[in-house]
Order: sequence, then C-alpha cells, then structure tokens
Amino acid sequence: MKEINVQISNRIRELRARFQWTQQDLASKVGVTRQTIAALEKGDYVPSLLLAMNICLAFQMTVEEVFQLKGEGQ
Amino acid sequence: MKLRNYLLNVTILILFGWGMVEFYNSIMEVQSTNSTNSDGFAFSLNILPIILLFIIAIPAAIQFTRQQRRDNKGWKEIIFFPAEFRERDEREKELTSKACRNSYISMMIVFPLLAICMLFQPFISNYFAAYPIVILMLFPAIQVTVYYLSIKRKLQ
Repeated sequence: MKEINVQISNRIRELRARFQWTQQDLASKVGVTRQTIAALEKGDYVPSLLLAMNICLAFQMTVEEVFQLKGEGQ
Repeated sequence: MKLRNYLLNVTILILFGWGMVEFYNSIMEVQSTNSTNSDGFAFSLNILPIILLFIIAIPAAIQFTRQQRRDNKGWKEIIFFPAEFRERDEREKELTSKACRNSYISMMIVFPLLAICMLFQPFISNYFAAYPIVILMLFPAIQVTVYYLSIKRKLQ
C-alpha cells in the first residue's frame, strides 16, 4: 500500500488569540481537555473529524480556514 | 499516568506478591506438620507484607475513589477500571489504546520468557519454594511498566 506523506497544520493558536480565549475556554467549548488543545496547537495530535468540525463551529469558520493539508503536492 | 501512580501500582504488586510468598510458606508448614503429626498442625505467618499492603492500598483506594467521584465517574467504572486509565477525551482514549496495544505485544514476548524461567523451578524450589509466585507476579509488573513507559513516551 502506498504511504501518503501529508500532515495537517492548523491555526488554532492564532484564532484563539484573536478571539481572546484561553486553551481552557476552547477546550470547554468543544468538550475536550486543555492538554488536547495544547497538543493540537503544537501539532502533536491530529483531531478526529468530529473534533475538527466542533473547533470550526466554535470559531464560526469553515474547515479549510482552520485546518490546512501540507505535504506531497500541496 | 503519573510516576507516583506507577510506583504505587508496582509497590502494591510487590507487597501482594510478598504476602502470597508468606502465605505459601505457611501452607508448606501446615502441609509438613500435617503429614508428620496427625493430631493437628502448626504454622507461623509473617503478616508484615499484608499490614503494609493495607496501609498503602486503603488510603490510595480512598483517594482514587474521591478523585473519580469528582470527575463524575460511575461506581462501575471506579471499581472495574484500572486507576491509570485516563479517557476524558478522544486524545486520551487514543493514548490509552496505544499503551494497551504495546502492553499486549509485550505479553506475547514476556509470557514465553517467564514460562522458560519456570523450567528452572525444580532447581530453585529447594532454596526458594515460592519461586512460581514471583514469576507470576512479574507478569503484571512488566505489563504495568510497559503501559507506563508507552504513555510517558507519547506525552513527551
């Protein structure tokens, strides 16, 4: 099976600063722990589709505005 | 999983194993006096590991139960789930599942090795009769260690 080498980056830290939310604020809004938000911002964790869409909903933005695909051909 | 919780788990396992070794020695005494003297039996039991186990395990269990109740966990989860399981969100569930996977893989490696160690039981039992209990207790201790190291490595 061909391995596709792509990564997902996000603008969560930037958007959170713009909305003046703490990590805990965003975590409470999307129903996860603060540590998960920290891991997402550092790029250590790729969220599930459900969590990603919940984060987009919290920021009132589309998925493409918050998450970007980086890697082969991008 | 914090280092403190891991050390607590291993300490409880060691004390439980020590307690079982002492019970085993007592049962051996009962068996030997029973076979030589038909009027009754006598045995001695070192209860130090059992006392230490209660001193450590009871406060730990109370503290763990309080903490779990604060997190609105049900009694079923508190009683049956290991204390080191943290599954508050999808990331923690993923970390736990990966650590459990590694622990399962370690079982496939450790189990045959411990079975090989059991082959030496006839030689060692002359000096240390409770050798099989130690081998048996090594199994969960190694699995807990693999689980802890997996979680720690993922969190770094």
